[in-house]
Amino acid sequence: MKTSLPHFFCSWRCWTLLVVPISVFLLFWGCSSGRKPEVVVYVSEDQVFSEPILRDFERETGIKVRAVFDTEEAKSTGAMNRLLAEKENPQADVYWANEPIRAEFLKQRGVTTPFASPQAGGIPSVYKDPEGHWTGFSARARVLIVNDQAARKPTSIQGYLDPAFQGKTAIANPLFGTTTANAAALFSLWGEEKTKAFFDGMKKNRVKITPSNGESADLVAAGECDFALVDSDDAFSRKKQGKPVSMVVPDQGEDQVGVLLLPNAALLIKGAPHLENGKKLIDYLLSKETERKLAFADCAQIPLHAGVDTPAHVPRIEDLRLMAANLAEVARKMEAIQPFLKSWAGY
Amino acid sequence: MGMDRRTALRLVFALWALNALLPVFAMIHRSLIPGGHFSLSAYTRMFTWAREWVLLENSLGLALATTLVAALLGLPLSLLLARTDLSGRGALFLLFVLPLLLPPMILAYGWSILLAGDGLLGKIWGHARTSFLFSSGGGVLVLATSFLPLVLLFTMTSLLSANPRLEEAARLSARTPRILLGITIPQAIPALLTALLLVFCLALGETGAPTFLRINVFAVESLTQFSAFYDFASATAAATPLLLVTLLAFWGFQFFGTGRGAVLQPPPAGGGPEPIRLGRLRPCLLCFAGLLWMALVGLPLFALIFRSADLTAFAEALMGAGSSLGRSLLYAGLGASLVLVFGFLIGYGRTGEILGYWSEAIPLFLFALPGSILGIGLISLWNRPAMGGIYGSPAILILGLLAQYMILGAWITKSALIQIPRSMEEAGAMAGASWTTRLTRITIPLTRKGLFAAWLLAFLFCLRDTGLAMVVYPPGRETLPIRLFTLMANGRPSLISALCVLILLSAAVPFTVLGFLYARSRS
Repeated sequence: MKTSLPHFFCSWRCWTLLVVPISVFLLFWGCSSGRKPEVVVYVSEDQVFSEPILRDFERETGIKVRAVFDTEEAKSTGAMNRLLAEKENPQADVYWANEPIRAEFLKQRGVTTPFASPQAGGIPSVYKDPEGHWTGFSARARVLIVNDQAARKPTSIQGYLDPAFQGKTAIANPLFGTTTANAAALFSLWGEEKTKAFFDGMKKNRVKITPSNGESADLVAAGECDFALVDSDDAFSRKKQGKPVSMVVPDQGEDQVGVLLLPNAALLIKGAPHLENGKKLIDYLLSKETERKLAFADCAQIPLHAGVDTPAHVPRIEDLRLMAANLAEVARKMEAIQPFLKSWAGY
Repeated sequence: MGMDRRTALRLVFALWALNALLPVFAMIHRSLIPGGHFSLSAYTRMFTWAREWVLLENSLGLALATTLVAALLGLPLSLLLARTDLSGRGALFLLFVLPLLLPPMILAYGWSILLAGDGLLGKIWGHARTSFLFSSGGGVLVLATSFLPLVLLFTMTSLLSANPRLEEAARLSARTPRILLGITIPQAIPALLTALLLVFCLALGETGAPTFLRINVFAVESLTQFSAFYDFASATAAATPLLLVTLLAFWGFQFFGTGRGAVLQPPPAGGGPEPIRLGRLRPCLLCFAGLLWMALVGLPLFALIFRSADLTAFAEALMGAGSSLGRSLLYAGLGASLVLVFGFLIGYGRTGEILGYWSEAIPLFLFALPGSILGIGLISLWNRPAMGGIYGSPAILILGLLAQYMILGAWITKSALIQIPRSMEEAGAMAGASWTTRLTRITIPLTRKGLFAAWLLAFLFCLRDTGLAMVVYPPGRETLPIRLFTLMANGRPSLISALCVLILLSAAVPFTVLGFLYARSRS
């Protein structure tokens, strides 16, 4: 009898040979996890930079890392929403946040538990939660990415108000990610009136609002904008791709506001199923060696420990004029400025 | 004595509805009781913002324009590829179906490469190049191209299975254009409308491409409420207009009386209608179809392939994503199989009028619902200590896929079931066969082509899913599209392009395996 493909598909043979064994395998696979030593980490740092670190941890400790990656670029709803939704029955042990504002937010929602890692000793206290809910490591700087063809090179974020750059600047939507933190830091330093005037001035100067820092950087790299305020890893990666751009660390003058550093943050989750392994992973993330690796990676992050080797193009923390923002206060400010940012961004 | 047919089929639907609706109810519950007290604030806030009306206008505009463009391109293309003697019809059909294998955002990414400063079209068009892509027009281009394959699949199958006698009779007194307008096209209209309803729902619920192209629509608003504000209540409220629009579209669909005739049926045993002879128009139309494919699909795909033409990027993509690829195929295969089983039984119940309109309306709403909402609902429902076996395993994703894509199985099998004369089953019943025996011995063998088509389509949708998988994939077990999405942030462009191409190729694997099994079974 002639057998057609659909005929085979609808036969008991196909289902007994393929579908049922695969289902059994999958169920077995799903239930078998948890027997080996493992740690579950939710990660907001870009996968391309965080995955190699986690693989190294796995290799060095023998503890299997099961990760959920997330990126603000893709506007995904992954890690943070999972942590909040799973609060009553946590699945994650560690959260690797790519900036401390999310970390503070989770602390305020009762998702995290304090942990004083011995590796955190050399990290400046301004980059640690006083109660130990989160600890910063390897920071990104908020820098200006400038197109090499631009007629003028800005040295300050005040360049956004310069008529010479009218319609030629970009900024990521301040409702998301590190731009929110940057806005909140300005609100805490300058006060409400001056910061609102700055944002309104940007709008009057026809700044382009993009969905992410990466897209701001791309607009500058493509020559559609002269400059944009982005994270240092966005600027480094475009430069590495051979785009005609330069990185300017803004506001380094005596009377200027300084550059905002936003470290990664490691958090231990309250009720973590693999608590001890979670602590080991946090120790590993906060180590000088991890900071060294992240400095030499394409993200070129700035170590917070003193005396960590860095490549020549990565600025040292001691050489920078830093924005004097208290990150915990910035996180609290963030919620308060949401209505203003929403209306500014057109929401 | 076995369970009677009516009870069994209602039980099957109830089981599916429990799996699909409980997460939605969990989200509605969260949205109505934010902070432990009953409040409608999320909904009142949502509907009193002027911005929401703009979003509704944008969403409807994008979905309607996408549907219209898909219809305008889909119907003539279907006629050309299904009913004429055009050379290379099969190959052209496969080429036009390619975008169905990819999340629409990847197509948008391909266009962005082309239109970038160093891209092929970017160099030609200069600075104005990206303004079209990052606008509603670009959104319509990307979504219409992505969903055009659905229109082709449904309409072409309907055209191929039309009763040839009607056309043969008409040919005695009418010319081809009149036969096309009077007989051929009207026969395909129910299938076309079914496909267009699916396209409309997909365009309405799509988040990836509008986010990438910076188009503000309701689905993106819902995603924003999640990712910017972590506000589950407002995110759920932001999805309610989608529910209303989907239900309105469904009732409209029923009102025009096309629901029952929506078809994906096999060609008749004696062969389909005679192909229309194109004569001297053949080379021109072949060129037209080829150029259209190149303009819609070929350019962005070639841009991706060209950028990934780097062996190290491919090797890296394969080494890093090999296990993700295996998982994607596995989850999609299992998801599609469950969709088929439930879809078949629910479609069977609907054909026999055992199940009401709701058995189609609810699955259609789930199909249009943003995956992120369903995902958070699934977490709320299943993340309990006693449920670790499900929540901690890929089963949670499979259950989500079943909830979201069941409509595909139900509709396609329903339209296949409509083609079987009732007398077949009645004869079986007269001979004393139980309903399960009739189902396995008569109905399933007679609808096998429809079932096969349903499984394949469900497989493709499960394979390319990102909205749901992003929220519920088990730690350390991401799918290939998820890996692509998370690597898009600062990943090397050549690696990202290589992953896009890998996703495209991955959809070919199951077809190759099935082809191999088919060849073995024939020998």
